[in-house]
Amino acid sequence: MGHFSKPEAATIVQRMVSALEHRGPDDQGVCSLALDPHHVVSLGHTRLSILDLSTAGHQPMTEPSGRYWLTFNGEIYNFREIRKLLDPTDQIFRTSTDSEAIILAFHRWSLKAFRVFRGMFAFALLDRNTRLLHLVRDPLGIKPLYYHAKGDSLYFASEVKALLASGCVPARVNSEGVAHFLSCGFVGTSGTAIAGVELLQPGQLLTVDLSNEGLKWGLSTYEQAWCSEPSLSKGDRNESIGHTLHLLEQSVKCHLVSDVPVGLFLSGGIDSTAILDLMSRVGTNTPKTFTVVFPEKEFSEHRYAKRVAQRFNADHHEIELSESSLLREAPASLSAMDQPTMDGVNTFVIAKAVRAAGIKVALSGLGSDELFAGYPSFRRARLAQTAAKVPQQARLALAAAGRVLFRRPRFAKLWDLLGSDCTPASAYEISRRLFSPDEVAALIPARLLLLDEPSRPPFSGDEINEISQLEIRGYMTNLLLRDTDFMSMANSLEVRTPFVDKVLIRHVLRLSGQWKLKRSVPKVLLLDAMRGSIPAYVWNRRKMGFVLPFDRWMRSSLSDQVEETLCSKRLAEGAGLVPWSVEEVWRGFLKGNIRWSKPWSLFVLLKWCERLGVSV
Amino acid sequence: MGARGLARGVVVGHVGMLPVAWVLKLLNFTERYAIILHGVEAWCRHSWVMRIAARGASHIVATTHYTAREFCYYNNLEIKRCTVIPLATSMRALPVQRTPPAGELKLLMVTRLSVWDGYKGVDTVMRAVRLGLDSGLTVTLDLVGSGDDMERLAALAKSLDIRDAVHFRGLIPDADLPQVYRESHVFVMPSKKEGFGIAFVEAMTAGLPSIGANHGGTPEVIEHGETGFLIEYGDAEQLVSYLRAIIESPALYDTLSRGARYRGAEVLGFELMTRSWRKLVERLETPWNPKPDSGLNPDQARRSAAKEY
Repeated sequence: MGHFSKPEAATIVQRMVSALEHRGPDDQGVCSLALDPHHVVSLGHTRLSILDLSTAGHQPMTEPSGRYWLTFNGEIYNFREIRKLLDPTDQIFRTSTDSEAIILAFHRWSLKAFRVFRGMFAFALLDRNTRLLHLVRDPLGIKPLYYHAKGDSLYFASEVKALLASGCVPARVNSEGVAHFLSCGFVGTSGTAIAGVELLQPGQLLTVDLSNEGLKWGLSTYEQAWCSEPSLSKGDRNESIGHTLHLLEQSVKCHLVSDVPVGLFLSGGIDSTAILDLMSRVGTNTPKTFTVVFPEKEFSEHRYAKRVAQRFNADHHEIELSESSLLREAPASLSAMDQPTMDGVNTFVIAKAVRAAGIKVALSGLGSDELFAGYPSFRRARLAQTAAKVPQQARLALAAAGRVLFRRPRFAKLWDLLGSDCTPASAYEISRRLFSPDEVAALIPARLLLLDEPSRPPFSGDEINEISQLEIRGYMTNLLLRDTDFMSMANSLEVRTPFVDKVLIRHVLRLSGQWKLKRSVPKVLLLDAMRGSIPAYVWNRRKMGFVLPFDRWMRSSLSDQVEETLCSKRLAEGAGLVPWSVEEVWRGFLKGNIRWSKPWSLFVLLKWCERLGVSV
Repeated sequence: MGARGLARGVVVGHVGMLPVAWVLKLLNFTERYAIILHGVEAWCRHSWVMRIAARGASHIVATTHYTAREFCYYNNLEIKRCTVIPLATSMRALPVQRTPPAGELKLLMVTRLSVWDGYKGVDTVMRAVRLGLDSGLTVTLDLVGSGDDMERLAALAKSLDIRDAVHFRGLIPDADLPQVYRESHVFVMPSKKEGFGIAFVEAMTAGLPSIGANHGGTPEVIEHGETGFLIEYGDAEQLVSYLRAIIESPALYDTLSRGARYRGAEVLGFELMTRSWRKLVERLETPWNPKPDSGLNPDQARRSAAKEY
């Protein structure tokens, strides 16, 4: 919105909408509203029809009086309950959409309405009477909302690409964002890798006041997904775990709300098996499951997935992908990256395959590791708590000696942990570290603030829950959810995450960390909550994950391309990096001194800058 | 009765009496026995004696699926062994038409006020009253019940400055309770450890929408959005938001009230419970005994809902 004329604004937004066509191939819409000679608001939308497949769900959406206008990305899973609260006779509604529920809920409850919503959402809601525009993001940050403010204009979109496509946002590198990316493999919480483009925080509201000349806007937090209550004591364990199962069932039931079939990414691991079990309990249809099968055994879990699918009588589909077909997808997946990320290629590949099988919506087990202590960072935090009992000077000396005697990269994080203050925050930061601070300093000529982590309450004493919060607010929100969004929507597939539910998360974060970590059993609290329904052959085996063989590819099929990119002075300087430092990383990788993730992240960053035309 | 001195079956009203029933069977004073599970006493692993006694029961009756599931999980029993028979009230449905609240919302809570029953959620309701008043709602709370926690609760009401809005009614005879229900609009008891919550059924039979906690057996009694609402335990703000929705919409209140009365009087009605029990007692003649080749594998047995009557 801003000082444009209606036709100008509509043209700009149409360009943005075109850049987002992949997110919504079923319908598009643009509307421009001149509130007065000084203010034009233009809204655009691309639709992936999932609820109310008729044209009644067209957006931007308004209601009969034309007072409210909405453009909305996501799902409000409890929209039927909200509709009942607003009108049990259902007479005030014209559609069966959750979009309409948003409008009418806001009309009834104003800003309080946003706290009632349970789901994943990012939307812009204009009230022509009060001349206020609200940009809203869900409290867990499942859906993104980027914005750029310039003078009397404000641009916003679900992807950075759309903002760049407007032609009104300078394509300049944000060095702070790049530094954060190099530090941990994802761009930081509040910013992006493009200067001047910000990301609305989870649970945040940006309100634009259009009542006076010019553009005034402010940020506020309408809901926090975290609770600051202390962890529950051991005495409540049975009841708490019983309630955990109840909330898991409710969350999965919520996430199945759809007018199109819902599938499940089934890996045969604990998380997807739990979701499949819950789907079979609360769903009304036979679950449709999808597993990608690779002929190469090193990253194929399909026999476990097949066994699990049979156990729960699922309608199981195996999608075969060879290494050569994966390699063919690599360029497309890099093109789909909205922000640089060292992950995401696997999500793109699976999303494309599932979409090709005719599914528009799929459930994923994302979020379980953060909530139920599935990552190594949890054990490291516990180890750090133990190490903290050793006097600091002794730890520093031990770390220094270790760095000299055991130089292999796999031990580097151990020495860093020992030499740190041993708090959970340090354990998390070291676990997620990509390039060390010294390495980042060598790569970026003018290093700015590296980690812009949101303010945290003082350490609660429960290191497991502390790590959970850090992982959720950091890695999960800024890498996993973000990657899943743009990689799945690049294939017009909506991915839903039942473990990332605010009611469930609030409850589990209140449970004692002692209940969540057991040496011999992974995710013990989740297994307990599932009441033994997850068989031992699922949980009692090495966690494979789905990591593509980047190391091998960069030494073989992709070697030339990666070398050409990392040795390009032009590309490195364009991204604001020191060319010979970038090349040094590549040489170190070829010699076996550096892990694949470092050169890969640099390669992804430079290709991203090149593709989007972004430079310093 | 069967042979002289030998009962056909014994129904044990509480899990604590299981070993007694088991011994009676061992000593041939009864042919078989059934156990009733009510709530929190069943949500844990019992001693080996109790587990053996539970296995020996011909019927395990729980008041909710939640209780059945928890008991079977902790004590290694197949869920298929359980039967669910919800509780009911003998209170007659009130014939008067519920009047939607106009301006003032009268909340009612009927519960023990004991220091051991802090999970009942009285504190949450009182905080909700404060929040409701702060946001412009006119809300009062009638607390029916007594116990050793009354002094603390009175002090809490004072500290929240809601003494004028909270009325400690003390103990009220059962015969007088219908009148109390008539005078109220919404029944609240956001308790986290209700095995069933018979108080909700009484309130619903009187046409009162109920607000309980989304915990334990309560979600099987209150149908969210149909007969009342479920909130997360301790969430006073959520409670207030539902109260506000009720005040703002007479149509909503009317729908909830009708739904509540139907559920309390019909779906969870006394006659239905009586029929279910009669059927079960008749089945005590033929106890559950799956054949080895019945085709039931542990997963199918586990995943089947407990039988309902």
